[in-house]
Amino acid sequence: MTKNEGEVVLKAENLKIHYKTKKSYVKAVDGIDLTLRKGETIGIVGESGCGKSTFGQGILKLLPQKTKYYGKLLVRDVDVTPLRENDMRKVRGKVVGMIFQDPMTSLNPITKVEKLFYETLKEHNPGISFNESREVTAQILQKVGIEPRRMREYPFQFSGGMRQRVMIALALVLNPDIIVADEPTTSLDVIVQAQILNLLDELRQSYNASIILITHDLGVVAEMADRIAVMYAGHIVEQNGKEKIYYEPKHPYTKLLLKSIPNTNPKDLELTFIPGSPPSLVNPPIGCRFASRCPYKMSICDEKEPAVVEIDGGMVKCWLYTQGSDKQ
Amino acid sequence: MARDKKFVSERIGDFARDLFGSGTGRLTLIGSFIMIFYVILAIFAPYIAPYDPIERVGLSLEPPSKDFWFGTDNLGRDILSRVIYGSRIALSISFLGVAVAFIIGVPLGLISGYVGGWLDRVLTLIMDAMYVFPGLILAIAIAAVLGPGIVNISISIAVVYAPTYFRVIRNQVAAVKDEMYVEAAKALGAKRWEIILKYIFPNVLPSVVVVLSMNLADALMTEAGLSFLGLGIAPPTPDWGFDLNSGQRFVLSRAWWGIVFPGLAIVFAALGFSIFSEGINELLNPTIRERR
Amino acid sequence: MIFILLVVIFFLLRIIPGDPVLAILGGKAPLEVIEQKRHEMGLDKPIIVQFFDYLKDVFTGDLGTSTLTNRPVIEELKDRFPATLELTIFAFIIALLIGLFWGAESAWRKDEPLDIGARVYSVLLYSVPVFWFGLILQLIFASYLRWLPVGGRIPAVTSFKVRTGLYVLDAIMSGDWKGLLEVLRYLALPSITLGMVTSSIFLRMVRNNTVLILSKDLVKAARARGLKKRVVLYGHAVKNAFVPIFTIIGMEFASLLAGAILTETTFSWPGIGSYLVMKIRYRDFPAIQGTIIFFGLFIVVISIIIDIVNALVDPRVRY
Repeated sequence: MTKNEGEVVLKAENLKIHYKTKKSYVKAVDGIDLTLRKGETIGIVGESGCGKSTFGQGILKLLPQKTKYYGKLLVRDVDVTPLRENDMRKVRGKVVGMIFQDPMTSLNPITKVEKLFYETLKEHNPGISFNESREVTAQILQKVGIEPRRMREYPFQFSGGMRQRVMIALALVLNPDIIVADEPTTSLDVIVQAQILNLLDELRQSYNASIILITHDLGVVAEMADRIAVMYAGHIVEQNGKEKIYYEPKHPYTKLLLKSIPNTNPKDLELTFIPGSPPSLVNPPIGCRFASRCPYKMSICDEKEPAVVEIDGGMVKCWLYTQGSDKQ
Repeated sequence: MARDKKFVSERIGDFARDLFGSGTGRLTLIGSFIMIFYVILAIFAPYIAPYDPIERVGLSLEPPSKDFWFGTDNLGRDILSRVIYGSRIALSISFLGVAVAFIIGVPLGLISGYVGGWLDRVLTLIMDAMYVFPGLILAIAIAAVLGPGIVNISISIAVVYAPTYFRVIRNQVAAVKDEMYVEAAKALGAKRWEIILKYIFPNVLPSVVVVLSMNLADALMTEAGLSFLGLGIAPPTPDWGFDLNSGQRFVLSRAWWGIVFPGLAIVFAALGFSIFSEGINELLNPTIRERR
Repeated sequence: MIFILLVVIFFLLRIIPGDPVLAILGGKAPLEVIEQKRHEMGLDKPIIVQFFDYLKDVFTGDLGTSTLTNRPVIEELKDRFPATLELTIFAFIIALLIGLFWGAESAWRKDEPLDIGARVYSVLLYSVPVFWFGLILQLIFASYLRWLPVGGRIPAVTSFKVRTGLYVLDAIMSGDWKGLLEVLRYLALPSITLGMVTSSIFLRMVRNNTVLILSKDLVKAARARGLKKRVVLYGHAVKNAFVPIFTIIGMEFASLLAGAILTETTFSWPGIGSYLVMKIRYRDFPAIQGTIIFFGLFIVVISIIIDIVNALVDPRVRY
């Protein structure tokens, strides 16, 4: 397929992101490998605390100052891990745009929309005039489905869904190659969710951008994503094309996640959930991090961290699939 | 209508908390040490002070020396002794003023909050008007009419702070009077005054205690301000604020000791009281704090 | 609100023991003189009548006549008001500048030396009585260093024409640069004293509020668009942090006035604060009453202004 052969826009190699709390380091992202190609949408799924948001924000280096990055994170062939703030600012917005979870709190409510665009455009195109920026703003607002004349209003006058559209427009206005969407629909109601996701997909196509869609909701990625990476406790435990993940899940966690999606099938009304909770990321266990909750646990799982196995077009990080051990 | 002003000491306490973080055990301890220190100074002044504070014992404006640790003022009086004795005035007025404010404000607040109706509204209106007015200006006005003297100044301070007690109590009472245990007491046939005294009062008391301790530092500063303006205690009684009033003369003669020492006495007392009240506040109303 | 204030002032000054007539004439004056004075001052009328007279007077702008100088109180207040206004404005500006910039930068660099310094500054400066602080500054800058004058408002010789009473403005309008320098020299210590003490509160509020806002997503989102720190900090964080602060600043104005009284006394600044103190010393009751009323009205006016400005600053209030 052409998608698999497109150019690589983002590549994480054994990326670790450790951020500092009062007394210790939280190893939120602890060695992940990920490749994103042009025009692709990759969904990163996992429960809260698995590190997906940290990864998303880490791409733009928006995490607190004392955060440490290890490994490589290549954004369009530039490794951003050593970059300082001044250089990162050139990447932000222009190469990578970001959409946040709650449009109520992530958009400055008391600055006019047109001003929000103007300052963003001005930062990356210093010579631009206010009128020029208004033209650009008008165009993009139309694309996201907002009447251009509303640019003179304040965000607090918009509804949640509309605000999220503004947020999307702001993320796209500089024509970035990559868009990171961190739980873009979690704060919205279901109908609006669908609209926003559709919008994102359309825009991705027309801008030919790549999207990293971060969410805990498997239903959200079902439509949009080409590939899905499942994260747990700082690791990517399974990664593959969408169909494979949904119909042939390999990792026990993935399987359980799929099972726990509530559905309306009258034959399957029982709600399953996964007992237990994720391990501490300050002192993660030595072996497989899912071992304590895994129904297929073997003794080796507690002793050694599973190796990454390439299988069936994707990867799995699980002892069950390593040759030489008991297979499912 | 009137929004909540903050006490000077509440602010100081907030600042101190910002600075020192949690560990309020520490704060309360330090605060109480300072308070006790001053109380001791006040009570045992005659035994601690080296000289009689109103007698001329040395040459005018002598810098600090072996004989006069804090130097002498323009009338040749020992500043150290004056500072020590000054604590008597400062503390007695503060305590007295606050006590009277309490006695006036709390019962009024209790009644007003419990009874409600037009009485409540009228009282609240009056108290609010007084509350909004800057404390010092009000105190000045009252002191102006009353004249000097410990009792008069204490009354001024009492009038300034009574509205605060009134408000705190009244709001608490109004909030509490519909609670279950009051209903229960009524159902058991308790008389009105019994309800107020036995049920409501003990429950609103903690907040008052906090206000009380905060008040002290405030009252101290106000008293100092009043005597600085010449509205406080009549000379020659030693008083920190008053000594600073004379301090203006010291400026030109570069007699820094006449200004620095009485002032420091005020600052430390205010700091001590405030930190203490902040600590008490934490103890009685523990808040969920960020770990620092 | 104003009405209540007036009522309270009226009753306070009368309920409290102390006979103004005796105070003016001295205890040993003959009875007829006392009676006559009392009649003159309208104090022999029933209290209700007195009250309505009082209200009538206030509303017509008649704040009584000074028993000391025999001039109308309102005239004397008008003379001295600009001095207080100038002092308070400059002090306020200083407090705002320090509070805003140091506060914002401290919030950005939380827990670094700048921030710790800010917190120490706040505690210290707030615990210090403003008049003591003034004296200390006088010691250092006027007495020891001799850079600035000890007190007063202007030296005897200045050439600019007094039009508004705000000397800084007048000097500029007259183009008198030397005079302006002199005026500023005299204004420096009082306004810095009052300004620094007031700034301690602003600093703390700005810092704390900004710290809260900085942790919010709106700041992250702004950074995600590549905006510079200055824009993010001031255009987004501080702007949002400032809104709740604004009402508090308004309330602080009242204490600024109280501080002004003390500052004026310390620096012999000829404003209505020192006027009040002087009148009290001479037991000039009409003047005292008039000045207190004036203060009350001034505070109310400022509160209204603050509310208006608040509406301008926060668009949410308008809609």
